[in-house]
Amino acid sequence: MSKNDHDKSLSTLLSDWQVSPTTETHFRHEVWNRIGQRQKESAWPGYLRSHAATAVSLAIFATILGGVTGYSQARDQAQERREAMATAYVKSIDMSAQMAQR
Amino acid sequence: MKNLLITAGIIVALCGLSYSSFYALSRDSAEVRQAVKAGDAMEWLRSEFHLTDGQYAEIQSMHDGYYVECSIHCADIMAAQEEGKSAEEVTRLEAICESAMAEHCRLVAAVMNTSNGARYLKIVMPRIADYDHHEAPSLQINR
Repeated sequence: MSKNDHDKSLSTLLSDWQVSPTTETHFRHEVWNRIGQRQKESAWPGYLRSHAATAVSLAIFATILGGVTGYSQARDQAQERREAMATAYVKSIDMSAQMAQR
Repeated sequence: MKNLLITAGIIVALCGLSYSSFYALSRDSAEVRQAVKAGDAMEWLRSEFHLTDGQYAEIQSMHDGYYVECSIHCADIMAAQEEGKSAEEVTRLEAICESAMAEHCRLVAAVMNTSNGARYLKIVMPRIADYDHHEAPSLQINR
């Protein structure tokens, strides 16, 4: 077979070749679904779900820490004020203290 | 990184919210704080021991009555000091003064309800026992 004959048969073959792709009707939908899935994973709720145990533990610890600190600080301040006012009260009913004040 | 910062921010906010809530719930009532701020010992007494208007008026009247008795004791102590009487005599007069004050406080406690009266005595009595008759008062008293 000469080179010309070879080219001719290739040309015939190529001209006869037909591509008939299978149509995937949900292709576009599936692509967007996959994009959406990735976006969900990188969004905060997805992040939180993947670190739920750590986040919940830290949240509980922070709540207890804040509560205990707030409670003890308020009690300490109240006690300190009570001490000062009780002393002031005793002085207020004592004549000598009031005379010394004048 | 953004998600980590959001999570950390929410945890810190939770901590702050918990602190504020417990602080607000555990501190003194607004009336007590106002009396403390004004340095008003009698208003403090009213709010700290939840006195009714009647109890408050009765206690105030008792304080006014005691004021006369106390002034007599104080005059005796000062006279003894000025006359250079013995330390034992001055101590004896101070003991009379303290005893009278303690009795007065017991009468005041009796005007309050039982639990507040007991609490009042628990707070006030140690201060009377430790009272220094020569100590300059450090707080402004508004009567």
